[in-house]
Amino acid sequence: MPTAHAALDALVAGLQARERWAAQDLHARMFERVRNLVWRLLGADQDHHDVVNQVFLNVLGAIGTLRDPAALEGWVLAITCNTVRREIRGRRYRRLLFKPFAAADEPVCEMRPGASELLRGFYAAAQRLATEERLVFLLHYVDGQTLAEVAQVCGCSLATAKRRLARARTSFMKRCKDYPGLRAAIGELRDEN
Amino acid sequence: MKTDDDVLHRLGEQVRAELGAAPERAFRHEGAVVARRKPRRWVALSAVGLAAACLAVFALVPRLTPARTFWVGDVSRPGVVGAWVDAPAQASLPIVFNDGSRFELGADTGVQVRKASRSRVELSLRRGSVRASVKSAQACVWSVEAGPYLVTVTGTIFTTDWDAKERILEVTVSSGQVRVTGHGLDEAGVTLTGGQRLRIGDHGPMPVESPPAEPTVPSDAGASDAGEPKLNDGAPQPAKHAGRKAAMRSERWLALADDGKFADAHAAAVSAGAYAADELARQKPDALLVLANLARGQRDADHATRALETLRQRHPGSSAAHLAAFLLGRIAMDLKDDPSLAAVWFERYLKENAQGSVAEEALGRLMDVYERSGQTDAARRTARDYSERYPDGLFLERARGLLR
Repeated sequence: MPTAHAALDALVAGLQARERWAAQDLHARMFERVRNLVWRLLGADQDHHDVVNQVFLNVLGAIGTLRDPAALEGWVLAITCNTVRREIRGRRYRRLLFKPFAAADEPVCEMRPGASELLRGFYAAAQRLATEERLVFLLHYVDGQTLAEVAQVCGCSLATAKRRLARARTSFMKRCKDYPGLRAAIGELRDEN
Repeated sequence: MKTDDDVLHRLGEQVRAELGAAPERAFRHEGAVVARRKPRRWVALSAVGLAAACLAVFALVPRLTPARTFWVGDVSRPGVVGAWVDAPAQASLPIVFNDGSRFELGADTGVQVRKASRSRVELSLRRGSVRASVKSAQACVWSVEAGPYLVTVTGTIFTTDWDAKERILEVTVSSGQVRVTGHGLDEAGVTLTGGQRLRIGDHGPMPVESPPAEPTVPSDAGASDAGEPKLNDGAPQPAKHAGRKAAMRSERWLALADDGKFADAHAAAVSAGAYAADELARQKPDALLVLANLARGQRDADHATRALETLRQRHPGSSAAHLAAFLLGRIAMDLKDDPSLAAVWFERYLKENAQGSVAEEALGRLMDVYERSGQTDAARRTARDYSERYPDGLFLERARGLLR
């Protein structure tokens, strides 16, 4: 019976050898974690599945650079975070090019129709954060990662992650006032015993 | 009272619950997914737009930002951007810009003009002292980098002194306004106005205070208004703001304090009745801070408290009054051994000036006094706040200890 470590070694070797079974195994192991992470980072987004597929394409494309098979899961999550970061930046550039006359702080909500006021407000306010701050904020508060995990996924130091989180928190609390559903939810949480 | 962090954790849980797990299949509505699959016309449009933008930038940039010319020491010696300028060991050396702005390098000072465009001038100070007189601060950003600090000029005459060996920066503003950012300071930095001085090292900033009299501060160092550089021989020039300093110096205790004889200065101040209510009432904020610090240095809590309370009563809202709240906290903590009172003052300082020059220290000491006064929950809350706001802070180990 191979150990978990040996199994990971074999999986990574298979991925690097472009074995089909390895790709299927990776997908089976990581799909749920990746899609939930993308879901939480981008919200109920129309392009969710495209982004998830892109994550796996990026993982398979870069698998040759993975040196420690034991770090596979963290490495995949870091690539997920990078893919989402590129998607967010790409959207900002596209918005900049094609909606130059929109109000600077106009939230462009990507939420599906029917999402609650809280969700819409939350992600609209998060969209207005700087990209790096937005990622740290969502990883910590929505995905529930510790700051050390956030730092690892974002590829930054713990101190940087803390600084980004502090800035994100301040900006978010300022901006949440623009979204009535979100503002009400925060007010209720403050009053909660 | 819940902190923002607590609220956001709960909010994140709600969002996570409401969001649920990601769907197995794509949802479609109003052609959303279809739109994603359409040929990406935006790629071609982006390329065209980008090319046009690049052309515009290349065409316009040289016109908008021509290089700003400057001379070193003599109009016959044009300055070169990127070259190091070293003043002789025994004499000063001026760098003069074509708008009349002037940077007087002290003896044995090393400086590099890293950038000199119409909109931005950047100097890097390797060692020594630079006295700057900036003429066009409205139209151009002038900055002096010294070690891990950046002094950004928003006004006119100031001196930057960088002790590279001890890693101590000293900025003295004679008139106008500068902003100092960098190591140990928060993002907003410290803004200094005319008559203020900042001295900062690896262990953090010392309180902003009035500088000692500077008889060599030039009244209008630099060039004529016509923009032609006018060089001088670097000789000392008369002080413009010497009047107020001279009046303060007439106080013997202040003169002794300026000479570094703090015990004598304190004794002289006490014997001259400088701590009497009517005497305190006529003093300016910077003199009151000096009196308070002299008393603190001699562990004379009563006189220090009296000077600081007068400062807060007579000059409410001033930066000196904010600093007085912090110093009152230090006195309560160090001299009166009253952590509850210290907590009140540190809280007040942070409420009045959360981004102030000693905000980090105030928060760190607040955490400390909470713990000493048995307020464990408040201490832990403050420790969490501290460790998030100052991940490289001096009190970080202490904060971590409380959070364990």
